[in-house]
Amino acid sequence: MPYNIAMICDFFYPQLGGVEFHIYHVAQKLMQLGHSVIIITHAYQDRIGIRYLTNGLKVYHVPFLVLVRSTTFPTIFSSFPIIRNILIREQIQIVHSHGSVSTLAHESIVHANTMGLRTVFTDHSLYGFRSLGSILVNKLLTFTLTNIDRVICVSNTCKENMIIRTNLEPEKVSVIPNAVISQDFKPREMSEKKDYSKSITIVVIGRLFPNKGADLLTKLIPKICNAHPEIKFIVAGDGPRFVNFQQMIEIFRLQKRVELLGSVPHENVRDVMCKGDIYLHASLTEAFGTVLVEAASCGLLIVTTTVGGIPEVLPSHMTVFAHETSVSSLFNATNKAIESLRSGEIDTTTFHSDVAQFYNWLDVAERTVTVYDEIFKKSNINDKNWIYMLKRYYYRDKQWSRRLYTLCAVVEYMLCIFLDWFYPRNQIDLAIKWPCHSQNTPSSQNSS
Amino acid sequence: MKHHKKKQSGHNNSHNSNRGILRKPRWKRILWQRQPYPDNYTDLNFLDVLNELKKWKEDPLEPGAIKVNRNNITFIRNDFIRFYESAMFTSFIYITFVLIYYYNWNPIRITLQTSCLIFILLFIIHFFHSNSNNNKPSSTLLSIKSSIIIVFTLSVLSPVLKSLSKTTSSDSIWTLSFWMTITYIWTISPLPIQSSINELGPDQSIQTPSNLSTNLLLANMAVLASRLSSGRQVFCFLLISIQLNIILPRIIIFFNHYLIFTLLNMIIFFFTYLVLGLKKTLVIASVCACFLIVLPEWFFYWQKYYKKFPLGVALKTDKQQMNPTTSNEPMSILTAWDTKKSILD
Repeated sequence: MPYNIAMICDFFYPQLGGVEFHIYHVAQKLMQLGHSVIIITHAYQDRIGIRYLTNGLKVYHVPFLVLVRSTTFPTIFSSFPIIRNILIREQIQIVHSHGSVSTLAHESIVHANTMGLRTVFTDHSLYGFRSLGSILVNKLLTFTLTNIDRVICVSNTCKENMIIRTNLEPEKVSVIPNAVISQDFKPREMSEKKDYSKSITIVVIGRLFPNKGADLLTKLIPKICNAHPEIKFIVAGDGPRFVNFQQMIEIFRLQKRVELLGSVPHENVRDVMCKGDIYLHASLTEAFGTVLVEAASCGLLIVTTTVGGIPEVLPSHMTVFAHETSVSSLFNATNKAIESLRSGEIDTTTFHSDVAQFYNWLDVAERTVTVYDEIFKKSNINDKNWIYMLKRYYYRDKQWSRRLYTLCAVVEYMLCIFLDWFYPRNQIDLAIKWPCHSQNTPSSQNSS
Repeated sequence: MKHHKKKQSGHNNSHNSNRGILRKPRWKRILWQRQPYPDNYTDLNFLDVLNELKKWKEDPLEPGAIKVNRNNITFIRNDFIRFYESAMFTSFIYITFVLIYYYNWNPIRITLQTSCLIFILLFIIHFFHSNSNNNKPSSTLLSIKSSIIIVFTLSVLSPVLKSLSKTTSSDSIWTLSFWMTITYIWTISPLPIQSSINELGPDQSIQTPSNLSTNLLLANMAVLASRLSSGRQVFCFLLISIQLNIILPRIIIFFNHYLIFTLLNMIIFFFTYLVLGLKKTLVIASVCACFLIVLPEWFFYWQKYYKKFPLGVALKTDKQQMNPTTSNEPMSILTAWDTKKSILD
């Protein structure tokens, strides 16, 4: 059965990033499978109103006040009228929100539950428990996920983190990894086998933030350059630690060996990756690490830390792990990778086809549809009953928060009654769906 | 939460039924291979952890669980003491101000006394701690030079500062000064995370004040200075405040911490007694005692719930297969998903 799905998130095109690509690709593949998908996000500069992307992917850019780093101002209730209007217009059955720090995603889940729609939430990152920010995010998430139907996480680590953070039932949480478009990350074409004893290039791509291991890299790069005179580095990405990289190059006189590219557009990432032989990833936290899959798809040997979900992502023959987030551990791992490239014990030419087999967006979309199917298969008449939902809010958390949750829910219901009277459902025009050209994939044939 | 374990184990039992064991390979913690398990399959080890966690939440001090480490209270208390100290030093601004403004003490005499005290202390440090501190003669000369410059700048600026906010009413000045003091204490107090990371002890971790806090201090003094009647009073007030707030905290770390702490407290409370009377002083003193003794205990009490919950031996062994060199201490649930620290060895 084809579904009408609304993907909701504060982060979407024209901004680029992991979450944004995930939403875009899953939406495209869901449309390919015959479902109708719209995306709701906030306005980006003059990008206000309805826009269409490839294959008629309809994007609502709703003008909300943006607070910080593309996140809208949290009010819980103020987005209800417009979200209700869009959901009714598009005859949405499933609201699929993305991202723990997206206010719009949280609020939409609450609104959709109130309207009796099915809700799914995908989380893309890991959160701790001891900083004020993460405590607030966790509390907010506990509130909004009280009546959620299903949750999707990008890795097993992410799932466990999610369950502890929000006290969800484990069987409600599915693990569906990210994917890459393998055609976009083809390895460079080589006429003859490269002689690794002459030169090896190590590539680092990522935002130069402390939590991405930038401090480790500024210590590690001179150390490797000192130990191996034939090794070169390409560092792509920008961030607050960019200056430290410049200083590192100046101090150790590595101008000829370390190339600092600054920020690189996503479509050029493949070209940068293809200049290298080893991909070095020193991140200190990671839920999935799509960039590792992209690098492996380009035929690079991966040297990485083992934080978060990274050990689950790639098989051991593609990666060399540094088991500690220390300079020495990463140094040893890099040495090991260099040695194995030189001795020829690792054949990187098969990486591309392997990765293409492991991860593709169609598979992700099909598994997401399975999650949607499950919701309707195992649905209960009381799932979206206001009284039952209120009861769930009341028994959700500790003394103070549960009362606050219940109060918010009651206000939300009152708002819903008011809106139903003020702007009745039958006065909202229904949008005409984009003509669906579902491509002839075996699964779409099954679903239709 | 109550039933999911039962449900899950039921659901997993069906996997592990005899036929299942024969056909299905063991579930692996990987994403790059499709396994014959549904996407919402949960690691059995993790379900055990969840069960343990539930028990732990009901009774955090149950025997057998890891005991709450009493040493942590020292760290917490040190953080509280450090915060208290920054507030204490700031209160000297007001003591000096009240003595000059309200009690009309001779400002020059107080300045001479505090300057002498500072000089004597510096002298003692120079002779008794010079080995540990590597004080070069050139750096001493440099600091003398900068102190002279500061003194002259203050003497030039004091008439300006005296008249700068003269037209503002006193009530506004008190309010302004109050909020600036709050902000100053906020900016000068060390960040809790930093202080728990550096294990130098309370004495050595006094940080150099940031530009923001120094500027706030100066602004606060400038605002208060406008209430004084003469340029000389303003000059003395500024000088004393700088001595007590910027130089003194750096000097006293070389002396017995508790002795100095008690001494300064005695001065402050004696002054409070003289100005406000016994009753109010007792109230203030009990609030301070509460802050220093009760609050850290309370804070510590709340930590027992999550502080050291072991993240399950089972889950850990599973992770260790991939990561054999993981340190042997049990992973705390509080930090298991945190951003790891970079070790710059």
